[in-house]
This record gives sequence, C-alpha cells and structure tokens, in this order.
Amino acid sequence: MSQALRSAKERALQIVEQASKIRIQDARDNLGARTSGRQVRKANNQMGHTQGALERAAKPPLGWIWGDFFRPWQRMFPGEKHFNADINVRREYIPLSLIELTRLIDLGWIDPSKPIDISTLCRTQKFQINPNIRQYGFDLTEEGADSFPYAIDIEVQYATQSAIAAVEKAGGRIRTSYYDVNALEAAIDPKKWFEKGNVVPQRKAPPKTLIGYYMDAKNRGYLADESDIENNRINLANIRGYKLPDHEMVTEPLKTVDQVFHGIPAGSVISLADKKLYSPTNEIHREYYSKQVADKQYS
Amino acid sequence: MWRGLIRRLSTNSEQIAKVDVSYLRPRHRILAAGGVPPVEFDYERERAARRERFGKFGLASGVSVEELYPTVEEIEEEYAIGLFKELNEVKQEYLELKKKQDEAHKNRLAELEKNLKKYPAALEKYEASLVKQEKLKDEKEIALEKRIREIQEYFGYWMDPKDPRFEVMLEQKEAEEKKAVKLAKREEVQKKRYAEVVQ
Repeated sequence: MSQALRSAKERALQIVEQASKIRIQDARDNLGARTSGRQVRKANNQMGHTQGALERAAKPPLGWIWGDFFRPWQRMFPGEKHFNADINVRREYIPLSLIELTRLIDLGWIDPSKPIDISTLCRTQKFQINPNIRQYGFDLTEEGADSFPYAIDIEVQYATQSAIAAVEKAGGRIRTSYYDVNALEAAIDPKKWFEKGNVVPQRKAPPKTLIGYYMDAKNRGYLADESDIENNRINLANIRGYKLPDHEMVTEPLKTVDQVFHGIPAGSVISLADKKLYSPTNEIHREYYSKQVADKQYS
Repeated sequence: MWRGLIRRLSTNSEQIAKVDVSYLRPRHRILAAGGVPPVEFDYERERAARRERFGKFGLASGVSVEELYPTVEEIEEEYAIGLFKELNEVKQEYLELKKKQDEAHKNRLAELEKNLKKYPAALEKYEASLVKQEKLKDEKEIALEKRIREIQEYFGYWMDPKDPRFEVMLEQKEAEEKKAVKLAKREEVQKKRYAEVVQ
C-alpha cells in the first residue's frame, strides 16, 4: 500500500502496533512530580512565631519540633524503625546523676545514714516514675563523680562503672537490682500501696535477657555472689587507681532477692491504722510468696 | 406567732451545742470524727473496696486479713498459665545461652585467625583474577561499544541496545553490509574483466 493511500488513523495504528512495549526504563516521573519538601505558607509555619523565637528562645529537646511540643517524633511516626522498632518493649530508666544525689543529701531530702532505694528517692518528690510506660527505675550516671563526698548505701536499677567507682571510692555500697512492675508500683509509693490494702508483692527476678546484667558482679548486680562483688570492688579500685576506705557503708542488711522493702518480707500485709504487720499462715500462700520466679520477658 | 419566736430564741446553750450546722452527711460526719463508717453502698461490698477499707481502717473495718490475699483458684490459675518461670530455671537457661555464645565467639576468633594466615595468598590470587577479568571485559566491551556506536551513527539517532528494535536494526545493517561487500566484489571482478578486455 502506498503512503498516499493510507489515512492518518491507519498510520497511527501502524506506529502503535510496531512500537515495543513500555518497559520500566521508559517510565519516568513528570517534571516536578517529586519534591524534597513542601513550601509552607506563612500562616502555617510552625518553625517559630517570630524570627526571634527561632534565634533566641529555648529550643525543644531533641526529637521534638517547634510548635509541636506535645507530639514527639516517636508518636508522630509510629512506624519509623530508626527510633520506634522496640518502643513497645524497651525499658526506660530515670537518670539520677551523682551531683543531683549530692544536692539532695546536702539539702536534707535524703538521709545518707539510711539505705537509699526507689522508695527513698521517690519520697523526695523530685522524680516521677511511671511503670505503666515502662519506666523501670533509676539509672545512676557519673555526672559529679569527681567530687562525690558521701558514703551511702544505695540501690539503683542501672549504674555506669564510673558511678560505681565514685560511690565505692567514697566508702559507699552500691547494688543494682531489678523491680518488676508490681514491685515497682509498691516501692514508688508505699503508703498508697498499703492504704489500698494490697499485699506486699514478691519482687520478681529479671527476665532472661536482663538476668545477665544483674548476675554480673562487675555491675554490682544483686544476683551476683557477694565474694565476687568484693573481688570486683578491689579490682575496680586498682584499675581506677584509688584507695578503698577501710570499711564499707552498711546501713542495713541487703534486701533478699524477692524483697521490696527493707525489713518487710514478701507476702506481708501492712495495716497503717493498727501499726501492725500480718504474715500469711496458709501453706499455699506461704509457698506462693516464697517461690522465687523470674519476670516475664515482655511486660 | 410571737410566742413561737420567743420560744425559739430562748433555747439554752446546751441545746445549741447539739445542733450540727456543718450540713455533713452522717457518713462524712463519722469520717471527720475519725470513725469507721458503716457499709452503705453496693460498691463497698466489692473486693477492691473491701481491701481499701482494710487499708484505711485496719482491723476495725471488719475486713479480715485473709480476704486481702489471692484465692487458691487465682494462684492455681497463675501457675497453670505459666507466665513466670522459676528463677533457677531462668538462670540455667541464661548460663547455657552464654556458654553457647562464648563458644561461638571463640570459634569465630579461631576461624578468623586461620583465615588471616591464608589471607596474603588469597589476596594475591584475587588480585590476579581481577586483572585478567578486566582485560577480557575490556576487549568485549570495546567491541560491543564500537558496534553500538556504528549502528547509532548509521541510523542517525540514539537507541537503547536492549530495545528489541535494536536487533532488527542490527540485522538490517548487517544485511546492508553484506550487500555492500557483495557489490564491492562484483565491482572488483568487473574491473578485472574490464582490464583484461582493455589489455
């Protein structure tokens, strides 16, 4: 068929027929289809109400953005694996620096001649622990380790080596110990716990993933052997180059593995009105409260 | 009317003391006086409320201590669910896991040390293979590139060599080249013949 005889339609059809299939390398974005950001109108700008707010005002903490103080990134992007991969299982520890602790003792909030644990620290009303959002206690950090003066007997949930060294250098005793949610709730506010008529719970041991930390004498874990801890104490002093005081600060004997409060065994009922402590007499209850169990993995 | 008013105003001081003007309900009056109010509402018969009653008023609340403990059924249910393992079991599990990890770590270190000894020879071999491959690749690539360029120059526009149309063009070009060669031969023969005739 000659060129002149064919209509435009036929020619177009022929072109389409002869054309190869569209392949992936032919597919391209339209111009301007992808942008790296969007232009925000002045009314919608959340980056600060004025230039001065941007330049001089206090900036929100890391992870929070201007204008959105009540929506941190982990809540805005719940599927983000970079910071949200384990948000439903990870444990949070409230940082407590040695300098803060010194100040609390200086100002009389804490009595260094008595054992310091979660209950003592929470009684100062300077810290809030919420076990419902997986806050699991205190992390003793090394800020102020250079000049920590007090010999204390402290129990925290996590401590760095520098913090341990600082406490021991001053003649103190430090142990790291695990509190499960129930025990923690009781320890945070004992009065509230007793007034609710709850039984003093048995403190559960850490789950499998955490038990390593608390069995390590290096971390002064409460599940480690005391002889191991003593060796490690001497060892740490040699490594860090300080002389250990002659005797360690011992205010009271250490809590047992399942004890929440000093001097109160698990399974007791406290009546604040009668000023009495009741222990279970039933064999089943006695066994229940003396059985040492580990906490579940995810709580 | 006047008599009544006079009677009301003339009440003695003892009677005034008995009048309670706090408007507190009896329950709250008892609470304010530090007493234990009687069980009045339905919710107070619930377990949590009874516990709280004990917590607040102690034994005077009338709640026995046994009520505060979990029941045998609850304890048995907890055991049956088996959510909490025994401490010694968990310790054992952890120690076994640690032993395994330590062994794996040790084996890995030994393997690395072994591999490190073989490393110089392996590196040399690899580098030699790299050079050889590069050369081969170069020749092939150059030939291919040349071919592609020729075709594209021939047709006058750029075309993806992966395109199926490219192959058609390639065939077309090859046919034309063959034709050209054939023509050239024929011409040569003709020239020879012509030369022969002219001589």
